[in-house]
Amino acid sequence: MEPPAPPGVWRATWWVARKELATSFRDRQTAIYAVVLPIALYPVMFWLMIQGVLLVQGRREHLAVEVGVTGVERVEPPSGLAEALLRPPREEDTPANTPEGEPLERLEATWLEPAPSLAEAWERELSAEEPELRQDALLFLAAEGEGPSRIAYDSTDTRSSLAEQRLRKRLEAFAEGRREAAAEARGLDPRRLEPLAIERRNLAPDEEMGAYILSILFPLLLVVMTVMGAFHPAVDLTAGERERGTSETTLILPIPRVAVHQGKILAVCASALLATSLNLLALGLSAGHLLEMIAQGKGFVIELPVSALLSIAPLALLFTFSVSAILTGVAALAKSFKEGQALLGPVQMIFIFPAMTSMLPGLELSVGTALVPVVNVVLAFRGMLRGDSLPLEYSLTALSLLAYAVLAILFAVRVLSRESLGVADETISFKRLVSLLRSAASAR
Amino acid sequence: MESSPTTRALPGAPDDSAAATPAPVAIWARALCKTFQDPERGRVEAVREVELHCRRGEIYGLLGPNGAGKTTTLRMLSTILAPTSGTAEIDGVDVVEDPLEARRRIGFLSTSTGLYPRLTARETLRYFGKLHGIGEGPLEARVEELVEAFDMGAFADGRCEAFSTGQKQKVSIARAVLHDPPVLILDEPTTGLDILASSAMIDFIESSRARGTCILFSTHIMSEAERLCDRIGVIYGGRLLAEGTLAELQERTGEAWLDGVFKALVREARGEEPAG
Amino acid sequence: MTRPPARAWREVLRVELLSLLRDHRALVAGLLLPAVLYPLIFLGQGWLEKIGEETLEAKEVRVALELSGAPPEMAARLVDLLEQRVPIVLDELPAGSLEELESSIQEGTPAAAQRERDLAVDRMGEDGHLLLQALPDPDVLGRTRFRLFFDGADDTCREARGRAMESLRELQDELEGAVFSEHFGGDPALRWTSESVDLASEEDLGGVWIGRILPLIAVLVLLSGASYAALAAFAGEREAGTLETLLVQPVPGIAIVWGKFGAVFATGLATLGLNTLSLFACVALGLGSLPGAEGAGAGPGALRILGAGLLFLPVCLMLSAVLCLVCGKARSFREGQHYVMPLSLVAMIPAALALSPEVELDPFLACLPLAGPSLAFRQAMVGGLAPWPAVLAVGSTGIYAWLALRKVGGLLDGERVLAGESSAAEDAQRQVQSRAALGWGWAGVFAVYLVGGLLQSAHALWGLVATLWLILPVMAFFSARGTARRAGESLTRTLALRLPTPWHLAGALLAAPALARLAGVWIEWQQEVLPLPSSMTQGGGLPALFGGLSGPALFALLALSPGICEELFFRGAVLSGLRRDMPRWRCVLWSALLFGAVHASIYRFAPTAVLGAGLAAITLRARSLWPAICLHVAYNGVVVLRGLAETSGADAPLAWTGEAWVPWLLLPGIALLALPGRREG
Repeated sequence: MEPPAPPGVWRATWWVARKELATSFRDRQTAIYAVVLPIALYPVMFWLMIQGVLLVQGRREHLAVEVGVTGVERVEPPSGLAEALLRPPREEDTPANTPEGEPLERLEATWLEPAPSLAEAWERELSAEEPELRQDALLFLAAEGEGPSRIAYDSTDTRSSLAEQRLRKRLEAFAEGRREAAAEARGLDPRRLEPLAIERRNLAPDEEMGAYILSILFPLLLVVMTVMGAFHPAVDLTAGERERGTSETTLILPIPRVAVHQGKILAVCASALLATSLNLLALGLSAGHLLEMIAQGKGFVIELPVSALLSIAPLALLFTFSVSAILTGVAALAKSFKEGQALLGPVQMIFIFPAMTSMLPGLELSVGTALVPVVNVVLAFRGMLRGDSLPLEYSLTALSLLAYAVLAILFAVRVLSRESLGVADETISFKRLVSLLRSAASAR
Repeated sequence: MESSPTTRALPGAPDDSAAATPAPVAIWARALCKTFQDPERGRVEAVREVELHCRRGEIYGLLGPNGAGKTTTLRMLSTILAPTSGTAEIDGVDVVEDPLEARRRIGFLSTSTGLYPRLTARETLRYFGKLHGIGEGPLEARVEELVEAFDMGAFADGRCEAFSTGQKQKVSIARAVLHDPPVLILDEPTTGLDILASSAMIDFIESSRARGTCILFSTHIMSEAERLCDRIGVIYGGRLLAEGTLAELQERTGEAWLDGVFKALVREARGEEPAG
Repeated sequence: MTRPPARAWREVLRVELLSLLRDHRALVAGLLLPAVLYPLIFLGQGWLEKIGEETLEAKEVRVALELSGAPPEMAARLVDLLEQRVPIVLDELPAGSLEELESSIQEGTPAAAQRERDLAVDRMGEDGHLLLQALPDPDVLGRTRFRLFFDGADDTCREARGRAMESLRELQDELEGAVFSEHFGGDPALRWTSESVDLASEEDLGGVWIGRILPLIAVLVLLSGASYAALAAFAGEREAGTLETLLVQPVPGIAIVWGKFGAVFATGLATLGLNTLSLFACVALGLGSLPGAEGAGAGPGALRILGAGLLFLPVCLMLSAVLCLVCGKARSFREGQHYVMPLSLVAMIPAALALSPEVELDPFLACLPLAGPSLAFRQAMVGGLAPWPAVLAVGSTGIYAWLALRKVGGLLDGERVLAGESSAAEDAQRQVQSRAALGWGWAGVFAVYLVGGLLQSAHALWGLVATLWLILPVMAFFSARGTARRAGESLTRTLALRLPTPWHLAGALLAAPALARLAGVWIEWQQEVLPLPSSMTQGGGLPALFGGLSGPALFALLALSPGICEELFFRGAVLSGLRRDMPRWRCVLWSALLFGAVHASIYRFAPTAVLGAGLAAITLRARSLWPAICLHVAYNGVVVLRGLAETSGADAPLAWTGEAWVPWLLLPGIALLALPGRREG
């Protein structure tokens, strides 16, 4: 009896992919790591960051620092200086006191004995017998009519740095006040003391600004998430299969080896896409809080640029496919999960390092950089997010991604298919791999 | 089972012209060699110049100790490995030229052919059926037929990872015969099975022969070979030392039992004492 | 002749290390690579930043100038200053070419903003990066205002802006000096201007950066190296099927465990050492400069590094022990990996505290696992480590390590190991109810935080209503339904909605104000250790958020609604599932954790967790949800209404709840609640 007509390569690929995906997600741990973890991770991380910021803020505000004021001669405290130093200059909406009435961000100023120079005054402090009585920073006042005064501090000490910051700002405010008083005494408008005003007008609309900020970190993030999302399925579907003892079963499938391998790549790609999308979704939802906090400080509103994100989707898809092909190809050389992980670790780095170039402000996507792997993708993402129109460069990037994917598939199928690697007991060694590649190349 | 149009007279094949319409040859191998390049041991000849053939409705047993080259030979015949040199055909299809076609005509089973742990039995059968190109309607019917035939109804919808050895064996056999192949290649099919399961496997092999399937299987259990095989090939050190019916081998070595035959052949191969 | 046990663990250690060392490929990937990579990444960062800056500085920028509104000398001086910032191209626009912009700016509508954009871009030209306009300041007579128009979403434009700002600031300083000289003969407040002088020693400065990042790197590297050894020693052994063989050797199990632990510890130390070496080698070879340490000499002395490094020894012990525990549970390498990953993520957080210079080492933080030693290390690197916090950090870590090691000792109990496979599966089977309930619990926490948070940021009032009356009840329903189905009972029974006994209700009502008062006391005390930042205390709190709502409406929103809906979910659905196959104390603990987590604030965590525990205990005791609802509503009511009264200054209707005797109500309350509930009818 003649066997029935075989399915075409693409149908076979599709069925293999479906089966691999189904079995992958039936594994509880895979499901957790591909679905639950991305969703849970970002909210937790951001929440921790926000709480961390609040914690630090709270402690800092309640920390009182001590500053010693001294000079070459005995200094009389000028009127208003002690009060000016005690609490920060009033800003709108900032409470100056705790609910109990204690001033926040306190700075206690103590008038000390004179010292011949700043360095000696500092030495004197350092050699003070009881460390608790040491001042956090020193203000060495200049003589009347001279200036500027000097602040001595230790930048490696938290309290000292804080003391210097507070002291400097409050002195500035005090100086401003003195200048305004002097101006008014002469009947001058104090605002004339600032000879020019500077106004900055950012022409970029909010959405573009949002896209710009996103474009700094997002490409790197996307690359990292895609690589990490493809990593586990890639190892699981190849080396993991050896461990489960079903690699021979797969080898006797009555379909072309290429279909088997492509099916696995598709499954890895689908998993990676799912993981990346979930990551992004969770990131977007939980970053809202964090972005608000950042934006409040800078005075502009960040909106998530949905259209920009949509524009990079096709390239992101192609990148995911490329990464899946490469990782699956490499992982197929391993005999067990453990070895697969060991192999893929360095491969991950190869992706992540170049991706960091996306943070370089000066680098741009050009015909030259469009051919450099990984760098081209991150620069293309960045350019797309910023709305740069570079059709030639984007096409080159897309083509190069496709080329790498095809190369990876060819490599894997040629080296793996009709050799004992399929049922090997060992992970292939580098020497063996090279000789196989050579023989595969010459066999054609 | 209709007879295949392939009925050639093969060089070196035994002359069956005297028998009445001999069954067509379903497996034949000529000068099959497999050499591995091991980085530590250098060049390893796992299989040397093996020649064998097996007809429809015949059971051929490949007998030998571990490391003799049985598994490698079977893997070459089932297209998992590519021969370094030599040729082989499955049901008229060259395994080197058209491995895909050859695979479609083989049902392969070995201890290392595992089941996908997270698929159910039915899903496994459906998956393989689809890949063999069986249409949806006929596939469903065939799957149910096999579930019934192998008495898998109770666990057919459970995941393979939870099966007992006996249950796994049933599913594996069903998978191997799903597409009704003319050739069955079995690598040590009873290793690791208990008495009942072993017995079931032997029954299955015999019934397949009755249906006209060509069966090539390897074993190191002499009693199995004695009971089942129409013809036996003794393989040692990668070479086929001798082949023929049990009677022929007994005559050649002068031994009554198969293990004696085997030892005699090995001694002869080692150049110790001439057989007979 | 049997070997004395003392030698046995050494043999095990030797064999473990030998097998590790022979696995070359994995050795490289698991140990060497992280040791080299992490420092490269961190250092590469700095290098990249430098390159980025330099590239930008070398870019040519085009600036369009319209300076007719400024006095000629000022304009000329500005042009001089700009020209110094090469490479730069200046295009002078004709006077009055920017008049149309003014009206768009004044209008301030989105359409006007678009017009402004288009006009500015048109005047700048296609390859222009910045438009600089000078005009008389409308607010102050005699002052000049400079407007910079730029595209903030373009790097080169930002660079152009940066250069222009530098020039303007320089100009400003010059002019300011001139003004002071003219009117006052100098700066009248010269004495009050300041110059900061950093008197930190060179060695201290060199240690700053290292002190910040090394703890985090060390923890990551330790985990990656030691986890590799732990996986091989425990999970790998299980996988290979050799564990059983090992256990039947005439050697006490504890010796085997100690040997394996030793291998893990040694590997961790080796990885850490390698990593540190490679970091310093990179710096010494100039492959990357440590930010902040340029010109600070060779960095901290070797002695100081060594001393600081000793602080990490107990950390290594602790992490190795924890890894052994974690990997000891795993049945395969793969499974073990799945446990190690979240552990690494969690461990990063306290170690990352050292990154922030504002976090100071105090007794509280010194006792936090990983955080204490990290901060102590940082302090040690800058030479500012006080003895007392150091002792606390090292001591507490030592205690944690010892606790973990004790558990490690029981890891390879034969029965546990051999029964491992089947009993794990059985356990999973048996704990279906509690696992499902826990899953729902966490899902609820995330749903409230993510979805509820989203809804509430869109609309405070209706968002809160939706969170309480939509999200929680729906999740409670589905969760309880699952539990009910599995247990074969009705939904009302699962949710414990049966009528409570009167004494339980009374106990709840008595306990509520007492708890509220105690919570107040706790918050006051918490202020000492965990002070609230001003950004959280400003804004008037809840009443301002829901301003305009009457008292009863606020009560319904902030007391009644959470009381009912939160209890329905946490103590109704989730607790009901938990208690099926978990001991009571665990149910109470999980309830506390979930309830604390859902309020999503470290400041409120402690009081809400304690409340959650109490509510769970009450529900379990009373076998009815109503006392818990009662208590929750009353508690919230007291807290909210008192808070309201305080801020609005009105005569508080519940002023008596602030009295000193109120906490004593807890005693009769608890006594009543402790009475047994209704018999199962």
